[in-house]
Amino acid sequence: MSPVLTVEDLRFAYSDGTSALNGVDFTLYEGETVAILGANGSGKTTFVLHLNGILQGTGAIRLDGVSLSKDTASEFRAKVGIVFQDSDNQLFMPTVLEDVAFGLLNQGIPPEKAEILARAALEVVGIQALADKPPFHLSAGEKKRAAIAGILAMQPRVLIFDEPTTFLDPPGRRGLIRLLADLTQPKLLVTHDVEFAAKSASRAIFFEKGRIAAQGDVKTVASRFGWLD
Amino acid sequence: MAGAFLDASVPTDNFLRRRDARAKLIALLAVLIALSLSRAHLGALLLLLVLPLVCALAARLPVLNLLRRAALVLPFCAIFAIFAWLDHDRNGAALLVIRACAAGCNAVLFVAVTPISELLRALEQFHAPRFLLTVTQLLYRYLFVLMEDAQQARTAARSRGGFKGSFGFRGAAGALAVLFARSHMRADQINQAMISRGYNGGLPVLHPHSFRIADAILIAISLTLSGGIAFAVRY
Repeated sequence: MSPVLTVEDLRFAYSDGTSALNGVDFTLYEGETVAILGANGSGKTTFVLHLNGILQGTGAIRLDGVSLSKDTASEFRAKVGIVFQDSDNQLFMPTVLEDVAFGLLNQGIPPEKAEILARAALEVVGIQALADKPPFHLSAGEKKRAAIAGILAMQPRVLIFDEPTTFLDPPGRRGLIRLLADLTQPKLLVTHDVEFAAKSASRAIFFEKGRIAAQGDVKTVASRFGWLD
Repeated sequence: MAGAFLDASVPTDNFLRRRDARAKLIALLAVLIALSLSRAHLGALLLLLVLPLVCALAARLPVLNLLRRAALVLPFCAIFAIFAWLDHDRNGAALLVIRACAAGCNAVLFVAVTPISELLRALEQFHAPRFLLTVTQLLYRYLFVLMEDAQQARTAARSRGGFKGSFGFRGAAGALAVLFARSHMRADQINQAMISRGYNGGLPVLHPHSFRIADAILIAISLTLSGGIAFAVRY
């Protein structure tokens, strides 16, 4: 498998001096799904926010051999799609279709083409009938799908999901697992849900105090840190 | 979900919905100016009250619903109407209520056929400050999310006895502070979500309207009507 995303010695401290990442080395390979496990405050979300340049620490991040820098940040944002934990925070446009097209229009894609791509993304996640609905009329599962469509429409190289099962009921969770299995991009799943991680990911990394403390098979890693009964 | 949303009643297709938001905005302003000029002219006021209802019927909008929403202005104008009534100016009181209802009907009709994104786009094209428009759009989207947050905090407080006694003020102030902190955190997360999808300072529009002959006709009709009323009332 060829590496898609590589991270070397990534370090970051917040402005109040709190050290969040203390030398993270990681490689995401073509076609794989990796679960990122770890306690609250262990640096998981801070880590993924670096991967498309929202946060900038020291160290190297490369996507298909291209290094993340100020000049390539917009390219990274288009290619590394993040689906945030609370879909309400990601759906800020008046209708679902306009929200899904938001990233495309920001890339300078003409509205006609953006609409075609946005509708296609809605079809992939199975909510094409909700295109003209305002986001506040959707259920939690539908909001999650709309948020995913907004990222898929941009045709990213890598997909990142931050706590994707939060707010979802069991059918919504099952639907999400099926949807993730159908998406071909390499994926990172930040989650506390070991069962979900075991069903969706081929391996896991465990964050502790801003470092990767362990990696390997999901259940092996989870049980090592007492996350499995 | 608490709260009522104006967008929910926007029909997807009718002759008013298809008009450019700029034309509708100009028409609304013209009608409102005509209303303010028509002071004590009952005929003009009734015409401007009936007109939006006829338009709503023609556009297949629920007229009763429109009237109900327009009636929201009544409690505000009723106070002044009562004073006028008590001052033995019954005619003035009735005209005041009719004028307020007419303004309300026209405004509600405008909102019912103009999605907020198109209205904000029109205001942007009229050179309204972009920052203000972005804030308005996000406020419109998140006001109800914040209301839900507040409602949840209130429910949580009530389930533990509510804000009572000497703790009442401190408890309510604390809940408000938590709501502010949560809103700040949410704003931060929204900003991150926007940046991660290439936000560059403006909210793009998927279906920019093009100005058509029908839009020009709408402006011409509204200006002629308003001008005619202003002229008729004066002379």
